[in-house]
Amino acid sequence: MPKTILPAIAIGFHFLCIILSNTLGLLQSFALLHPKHDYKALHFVQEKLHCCVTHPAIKLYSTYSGTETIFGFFAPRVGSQYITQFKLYDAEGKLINTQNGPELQSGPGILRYARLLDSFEPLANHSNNKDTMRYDVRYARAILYNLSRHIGRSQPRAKQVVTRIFLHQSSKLERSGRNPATSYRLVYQQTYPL
Amino acid sequence: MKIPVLGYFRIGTACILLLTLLSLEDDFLLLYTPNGLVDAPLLELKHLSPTVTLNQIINWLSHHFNLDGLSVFTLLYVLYIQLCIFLVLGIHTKFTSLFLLLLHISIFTSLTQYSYGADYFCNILLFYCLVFPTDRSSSIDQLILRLPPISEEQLSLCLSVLRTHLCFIYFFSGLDKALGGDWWNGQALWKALHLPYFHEQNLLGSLLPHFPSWLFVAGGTAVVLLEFSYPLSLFVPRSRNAIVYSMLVLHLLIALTIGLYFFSLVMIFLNIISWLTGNPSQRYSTRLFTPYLRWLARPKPPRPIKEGKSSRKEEQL
Repeated sequence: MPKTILPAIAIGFHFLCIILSNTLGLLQSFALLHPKHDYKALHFVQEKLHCCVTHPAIKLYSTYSGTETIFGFFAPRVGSQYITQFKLYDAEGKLINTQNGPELQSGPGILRYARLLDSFEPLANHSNNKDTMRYDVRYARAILYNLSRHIGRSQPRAKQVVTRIFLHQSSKLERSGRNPATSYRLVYQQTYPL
Repeated sequence: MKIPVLGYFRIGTACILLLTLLSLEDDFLLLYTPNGLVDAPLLELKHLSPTVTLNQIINWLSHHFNLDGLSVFTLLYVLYIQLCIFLVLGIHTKFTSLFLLLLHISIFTSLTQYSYGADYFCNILLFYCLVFPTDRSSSIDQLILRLPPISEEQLSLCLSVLRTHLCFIYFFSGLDKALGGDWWNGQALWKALHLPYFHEQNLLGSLLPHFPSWLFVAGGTAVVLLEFSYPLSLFVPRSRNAIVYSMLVLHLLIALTIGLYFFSLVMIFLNIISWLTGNPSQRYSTRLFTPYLRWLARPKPPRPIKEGKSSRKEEQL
């Protein structure tokens, strides 16, 4: 076997992992943009690619080499961000403090917190919200309970936390001159005793 | 004179990792300790990748060495910093790269709830530090073990892999954006600049309402076309300078407007290493940094030998 064959195979496999993961990402984006259409061929290809990408050997390699990274940043659409609000009350029901999140000090820390808030996506859909047995809804509520408890403990007098999640909505670009650029929609509210 | 490109690649990667960690300050404790903002077992419910999480390492070490969780966490934090310094110096480069890769994945990417683009790119950089002969370029390993220098063919192969990877990154990113309409009509750019957590760090925030809407349309279209056309830099050398410099400007703007400093830093670093230190003999090679890097890599003048004292080499002879 010539000396160059082995590196060529290795490099080929490396790039194949990148192509497979990102093609799957592209197909998922396409399905997201066209939810009403039921393309059988698309589902078939998506299923086959998913089988390939999740094959234990490929998954192991792609995780450690970083080739499983999907490069569609801010694509095909820019997602909305969630904002939290925590109101802390004492035993008499008097408001002690209102804060929008934990007291993070660094810019990268705030970005990572914003990333955690993406877990609340299932709560934004009201039809999901009624289905309390859904795993992702229960998971989002558990995260919120954890956050509320953590923030509530920062104030020793606090006996109750009222937590609200808002979804950020930006106005349409063509109406940017007339309307305020941003608005917030309340998507979830819960009271937690401490 | 040869520029030790892979040496710079290794040193740059280690510096970026160190900066990423240190930039989190005390927030690192709040986000990543088992008793932090969200309980670690709850975060681990979404752990699906074949990796070991930070919490699993902490549990294992505290169980076997009878240490409390916070002490193990502090030890791992110090170990990460130490491994970064070892990687800068090139001490046991391969082992250091491997351990740092495993530790980086455990901390930053095994649980995706706090991860963002820069973490995954650091993972890619570390993997390349591991597989490329980075130990044979500007490293203590090279000095002590007298490793042979990297040949032109090896360097060319490594740079080709990096360049092709970059082409895939931008091509898929551009194609994904091009699928929807939001990037073509400027809505995506408008929205990205108004997102609350990015808007806080947006230096142009107060000026945004005064920008005409056509500027967002032009900006969104330019981003898609630029990313989509990036692979041309590989195959059409004449277009290389324009595309690569435009991409550097784009990443600078991302850093200034959205506040994704580390993501932009990683991408700028990858572009500089891949293209801007290219072989000067290439006619269309982009060489903005070449003179400076050549100056850095210049051979040091030999030290004058004091009379009456023979050098060790002469003694051996």
